[in-house]
Amino acid sequence: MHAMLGEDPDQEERLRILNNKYLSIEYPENAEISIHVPIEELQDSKDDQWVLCKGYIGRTKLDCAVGCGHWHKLQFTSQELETGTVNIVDHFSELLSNTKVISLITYQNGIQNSLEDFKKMGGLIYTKLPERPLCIGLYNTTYGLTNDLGRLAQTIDGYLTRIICCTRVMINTFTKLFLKSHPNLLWTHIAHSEGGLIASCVLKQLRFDQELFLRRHLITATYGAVDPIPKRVGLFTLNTYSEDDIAVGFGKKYINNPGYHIEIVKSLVPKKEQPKIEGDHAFSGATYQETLRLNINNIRRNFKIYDAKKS
Amino acid sequence: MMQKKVKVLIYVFLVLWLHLPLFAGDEGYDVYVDEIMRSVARQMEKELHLVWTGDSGMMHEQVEEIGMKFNAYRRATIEEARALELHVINKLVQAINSHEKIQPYLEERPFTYKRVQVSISFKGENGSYSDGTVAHVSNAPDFAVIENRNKLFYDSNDPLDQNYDMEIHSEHYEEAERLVKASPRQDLLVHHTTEQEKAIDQLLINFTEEMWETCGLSRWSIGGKMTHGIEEIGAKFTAFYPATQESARELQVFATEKLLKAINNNEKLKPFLKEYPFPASRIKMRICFRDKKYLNYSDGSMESIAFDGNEITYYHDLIIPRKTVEPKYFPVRTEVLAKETYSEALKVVQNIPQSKRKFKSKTI
Repeated sequence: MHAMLGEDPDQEERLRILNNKYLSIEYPENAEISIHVPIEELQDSKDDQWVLCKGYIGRTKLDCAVGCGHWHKLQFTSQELETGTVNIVDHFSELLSNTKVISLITYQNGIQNSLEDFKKMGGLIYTKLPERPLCIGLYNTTYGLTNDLGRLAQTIDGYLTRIICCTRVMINTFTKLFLKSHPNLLWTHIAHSEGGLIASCVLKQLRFDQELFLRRHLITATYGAVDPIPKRVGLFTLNTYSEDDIAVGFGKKYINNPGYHIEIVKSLVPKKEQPKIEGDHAFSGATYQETLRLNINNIRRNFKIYDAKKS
Repeated sequence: MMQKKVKVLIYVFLVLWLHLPLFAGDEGYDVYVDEIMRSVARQMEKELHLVWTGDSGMMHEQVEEIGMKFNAYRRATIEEARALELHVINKLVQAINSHEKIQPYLEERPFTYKRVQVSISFKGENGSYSDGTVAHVSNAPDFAVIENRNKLFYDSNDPLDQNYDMEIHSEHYEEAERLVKASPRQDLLVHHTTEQEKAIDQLLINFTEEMWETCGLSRWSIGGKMTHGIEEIGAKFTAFYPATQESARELQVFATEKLLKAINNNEKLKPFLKEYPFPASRIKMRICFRDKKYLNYSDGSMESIAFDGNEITYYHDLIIPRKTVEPKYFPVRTEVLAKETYSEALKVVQNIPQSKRKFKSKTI
């Protein structure tokens, strides 16, 4: 069974999950994402500020978060000044570099993350990037633990859930744009838990020209991913698991699979301090934060991160 | 409803456990790369007690670069880290070049240090070392940006700021090779723990355990400046409960006094202290207040408290209301609420009767 992305996807998604209706979502081939940020936030934002905003795919609304250290480079149109919001996707040429440096960081959260958790995840990534490149997060909505696990199982079963659909549209939109106007740019995607599964599904189902582009331009880093990202889909792929993470089994399944880079790190959180069920799964916990820092440092040394202040 | 939830959970359990890898490796060289890495990992574990934690690399149509990551459960000086890093790089390169079956797949033959990446993290009981010794050594291979290409990097950790690595040294690979050849000591590959290190490690382990048991403080990182005696001790903790300014002050004073008592009463540590008695001005601490999901309490209570240079700074979160968006989208900023000297804070806490204190101590 299939359905199109509707106007009120939250309500539709809830009903689908609650009624165990397993169906794939479709979207028009030419669907694109736009990310609208209030200009007031950009004018008022401090260097380390992380802004929640709305994304749109047609009439479908999404929650996003953005951060950037060079919003001042934006040249607003008169229409944007009138409406008070700017679609930053229209302004990538002002915000991204076309040299071979990492100009864009995207990220996605896992299950059972509130909007506050999602914003926190972005903030934790952003504070490790003094260069302040453009960062965009796409929120993976929670419908409660049972429903989120149900969605996870549907995804593994091969169904295209709403969030996979939307993430694919985002990656499609960006890749199409970069192929045209930023062919040298490097892009890093960071994902936690179910976010890794979503990225893995999307990246394996792209058009051939997009796949070729991302193989040379995309760097991925996942933490406690339900499905790690295979090394072939990107320029550089890292999948990290804490040994005490409930999700470590998903990584161990691939530890002997040479198609994947899997790293299992010792937990920095003593066992008695870890939550009883999920263990050391938290992205904000000491283990993944240290690994994130090391990975970003490694990526920075190998590829360089765009610092608009120095260009 | 309950039956339905049980059915969903059983379904999820079955799907997750029966799930097969969706994307198996499909290039001919994958198996050979794996064989090489496993043989090097076994050798390094046997010879040098290095634990292989993961791998990296750039491999598309051909093998462009191979990377391996290790943990070493000991400290290392720059000299030791250099010798260890070069040793592992050489072993990896040798293993690649002596593996017959992978040769047709290599982008360059023979492979050299320019096409491998080795990173080694040095860890102890308190996590990564944050005491001025090398916490992490790695090399940047040939594909890295030009200014970092074929260099070795030695990083240290700041116990209070875990957002960035502190690069303490870097050098070109060939310079590192020259230095190692000039002093070819086999024992450089293993660190011999000094009496100072033994004493401070034990003290910090006991302190972090006591802080968890008495105040519910979870250690994030601990260390300090210890390369030339114990100059400074720093620690970052997380408290999974909210705090007012008053209770945060009490907590900071309690933790600081406990640490000072432990340091100054430790006979084994005394010879290594830069100053005796060790004063509060040589302690740095940060305590962050978070809920169980590591989120800030944006309700007017403390975001964190920082103790540095004898001054305590109290931070809280301010919600900035906006007319154009719903409250859940309001931006939040962390700002300074108040500052005071440590002696002012100590006086305030000393004036609180013992029975009314949250953290009881005979010495305060």
